[in-house]
Amino acid sequence: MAFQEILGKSINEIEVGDKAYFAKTISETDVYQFAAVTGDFNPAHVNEAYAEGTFFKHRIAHGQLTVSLISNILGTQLPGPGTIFVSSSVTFLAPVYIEDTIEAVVEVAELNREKNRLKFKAWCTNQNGVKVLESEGMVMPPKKR
Amino acid sequence: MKARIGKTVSEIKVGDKAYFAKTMSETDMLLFAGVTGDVNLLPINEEFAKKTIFKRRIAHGMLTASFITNIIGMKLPGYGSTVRNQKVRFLQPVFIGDTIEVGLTITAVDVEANTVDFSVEAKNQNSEIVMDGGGIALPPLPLDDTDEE
Repeated sequence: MAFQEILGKSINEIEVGDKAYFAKTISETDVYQFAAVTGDFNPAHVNEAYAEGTFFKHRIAHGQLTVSLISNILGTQLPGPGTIFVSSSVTFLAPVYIEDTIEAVVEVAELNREKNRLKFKAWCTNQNGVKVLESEGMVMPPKKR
Repeated sequence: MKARIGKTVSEIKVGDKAYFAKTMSETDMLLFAGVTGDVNLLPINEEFAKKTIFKRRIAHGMLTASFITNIIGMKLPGYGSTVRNQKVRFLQPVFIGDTIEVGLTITAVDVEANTVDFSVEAKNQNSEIVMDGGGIALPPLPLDDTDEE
């Protein structure tokens, strides 16, 4: 059986400053499935009655769920399929609530074409334009076969 | 509802440790792909993965990194904690069926700022380090004693 090869961009097809976007409304289902996968049932994420008594007033999404939207861009668009994640760091700036619509942005910051390493900057904003997190990291784009 | 919280900053000491271990299932990877929309072929397409250096599907790195949030949210500090920032390095691939143990160690405690610094290391069943990193978390604030039972 032959499969169409769908590879992302190789490092030579990428320039510093290239950007890609992904936006998603964070649903209750997302938060509960994420809790199930990670085992993180912190009541801040899954208990509305508890959350009402906290600083945030409502259930908030796991920070790591929002960060993973960046992984989406890296793995599907820039560089795209075949990309390998090397490292990342993230700072959380504001809470993300269920039903918030979050846009993630990845921007290419630095390229090392010899070593096939790409440094990126990324950030996420909500529907009100509030920046909820900032990140940076390194990936290896796919190599053309 | 009475709030039940994890350890407050004054209950945490440098060197405190907590662990979480889980066998990485195909279901986890597909749910993670669905939640994040990250349908990179490496975790979801076996035929594609066969032709890579990994030879078979690997888990999303960010999925392994997400196991850290389990420890912070559930164990150390526990309920009511938030993560301020987190760094990770992915050192080895994680395959379906691998059992990953994440260990978290407290490396600094700042009672006034209500922050704890932590380091993390994730190992597979062969004791290979698949991921390491660290960050800063905010433990829950002490509850008002007048809170009803």
